[in-house]
Amino acid sequence: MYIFVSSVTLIYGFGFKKLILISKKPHHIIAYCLKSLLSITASISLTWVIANNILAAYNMAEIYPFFAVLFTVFFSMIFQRFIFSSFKIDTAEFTLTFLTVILAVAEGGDFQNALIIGISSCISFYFLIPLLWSIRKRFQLSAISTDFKTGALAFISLALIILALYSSNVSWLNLGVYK
Amino acid sequence: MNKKNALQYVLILAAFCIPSPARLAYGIILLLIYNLVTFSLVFTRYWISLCNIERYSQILQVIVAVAVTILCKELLTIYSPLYSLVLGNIIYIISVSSLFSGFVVTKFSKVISKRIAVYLTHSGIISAIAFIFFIVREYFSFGTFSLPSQSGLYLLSIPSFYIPGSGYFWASIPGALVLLSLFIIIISLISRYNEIKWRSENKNV
Repeated sequence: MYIFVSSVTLIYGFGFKKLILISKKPHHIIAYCLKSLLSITASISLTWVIANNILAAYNMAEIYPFFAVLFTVFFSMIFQRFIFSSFKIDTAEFTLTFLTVILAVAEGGDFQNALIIGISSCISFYFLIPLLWSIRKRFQLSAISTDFKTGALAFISLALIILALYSSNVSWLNLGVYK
Repeated sequence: MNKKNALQYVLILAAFCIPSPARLAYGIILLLIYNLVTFSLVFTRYWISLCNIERYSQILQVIVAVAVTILCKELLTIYSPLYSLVLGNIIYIISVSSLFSGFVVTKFSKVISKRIAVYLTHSGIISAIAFIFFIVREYFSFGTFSLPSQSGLYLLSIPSFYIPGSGYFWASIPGALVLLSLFIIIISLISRYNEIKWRSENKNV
């Protein structure tokens, strides 16, 4: 349930670009998902340990994204190589992994919580891919103006999905009301 | 600016425009950070090409982008903790967006001044579109314009047809998505019109 209700792609817009433009085969998406999950888990684990045990002790927890980026780049490269050598699929992806690690470490109350946030955020993104791909495919088949085909209808579809999923909780409307 | 580039620009600014609050003040702060990160990346790329270490180019760019973003977030916390609290993780999306905006530029010049000019043009276009987006979104949402202030927001009340509470949809994420899709359609129409005009002019020549 958390995967759908707290989708980082829908709330924070993580991976919007990839979501709108991606057109890969199903086994490629599974490989991407596997690589992202492994990278996110490993990066969150190390970043969490560094941020809470070392940086927090010296009141420097604010700079944890710097360590997050180092670990994310390192693990992304390792798992990308591993998947490429095993299945011959290139899974170059950085944005979603990095932003998810940042979010999970910032919002996680404890280590398990951070891992759950990270993993569910990643899965929520990959669940949206077939959904949006099918919508895009439907648009391609229908006779609509080319001006509407360039991502505009995909954005409107995402807006409708958000309205459908979050109509029971409109707390995200509160952004920016502080004066 | 062709149609493909226009869509890329919109997707870059979508990354930080959609989750940000529907206030121009936050938009100005985000655009300042975006331009600062982009500007630092120009020098990083130049330095990488000077040192002939293109092999580590992407990793170095990512590290520099995140480091500059952390610096900006700390400076923002000193200026106004409220802005830092409200913007939160959205600031880190900028470092990624700045990297992607660099990938839109494909022709690199060896001269630093020419390189800066090219990047300033690209980031200028993105900033202009984002600025208009933030203005329109706040006007539709709250019927005001806001400017950054240390204690919060400096609100400019302007005469409008706005009925309180009627425009909250535009302040939400679905509202931002719908507004952005309207921007895409307008940009697409303009670029198509320019393309047709250019073709007809060339035919006459």
